[in-house]
Amino acid sequence: MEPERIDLSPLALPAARRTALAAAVLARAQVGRAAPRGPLAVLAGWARPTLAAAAAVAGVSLAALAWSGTRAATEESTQTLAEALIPERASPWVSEGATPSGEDLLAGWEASP
Amino acid sequence: MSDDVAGLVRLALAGDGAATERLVTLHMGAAYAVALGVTRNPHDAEDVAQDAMVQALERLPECRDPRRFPGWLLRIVRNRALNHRRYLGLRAAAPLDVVEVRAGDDDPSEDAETAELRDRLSAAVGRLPDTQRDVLLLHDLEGWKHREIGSALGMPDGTVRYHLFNARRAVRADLETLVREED
Repeated sequence: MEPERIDLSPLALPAARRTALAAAVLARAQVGRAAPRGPLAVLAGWARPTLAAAAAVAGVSLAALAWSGTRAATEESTQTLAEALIPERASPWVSEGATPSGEDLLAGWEASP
Repeated sequence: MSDDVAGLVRLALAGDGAATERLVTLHMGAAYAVALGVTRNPHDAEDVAQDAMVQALERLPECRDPRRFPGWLLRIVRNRALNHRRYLGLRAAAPLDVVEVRAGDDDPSEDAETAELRDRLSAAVGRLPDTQRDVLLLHDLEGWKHREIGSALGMPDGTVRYHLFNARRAVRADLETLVREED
């Protein structure tokens, strides 16, 4: 047989206190919800996965750009360097091993842009 | 407690103020009862219940199964109450029995006999194991049904009855011992 119910009413929260307590909880919860959040916090909360995906795409794109840029620059700079070191008019002297005369140098200098 | 708790939780999550209010009102007494069982002091129990309820509302999206909201809430209450008790113990460096004496001391208008009865009851209930105490308070104080308690605490109805049986018997024996000692 189940023991009789125990009167625990002396332990009960009085109705007025219960109402006041519930009101206090709701007010505190409301304040917490209404608290202004900074734009960064809003962005972080709203778009964290999107931002992460965008950052990953941007990272891969930048790496690809840098790699292709380096390659192109290397090819280009080799050509430019050769042209800079051996001007077009001096190419025959270099390939033939001939020493240019003063007139040749003067003519070459005057013809250079 | 006949409301559809899961429905209220879902509405509260969607920002329905009335549902949130109903949810709080429905569970305030239970939160207080469990807090009182641990702190054994009405004022501390109010503070703990209030803090725990606010925390529960803030963390409501974390309540994975809205049907289990009561049990989830009562776990938050119990943890906060235990932390509070530890804090009091550390602060005062006093044993719990000393803290218990504070119950009912600070309301001069309160009838001395009522205060004494409440302290005795509170102490007897406080000596129960956690589960028995929660079952007893929710059933005999808050009027929850066996099924509702079972759902909240995650146990079958039969186990709720078993705990209730043992809790009532233990509290009754505790109070009778006190009366005999006085005689």
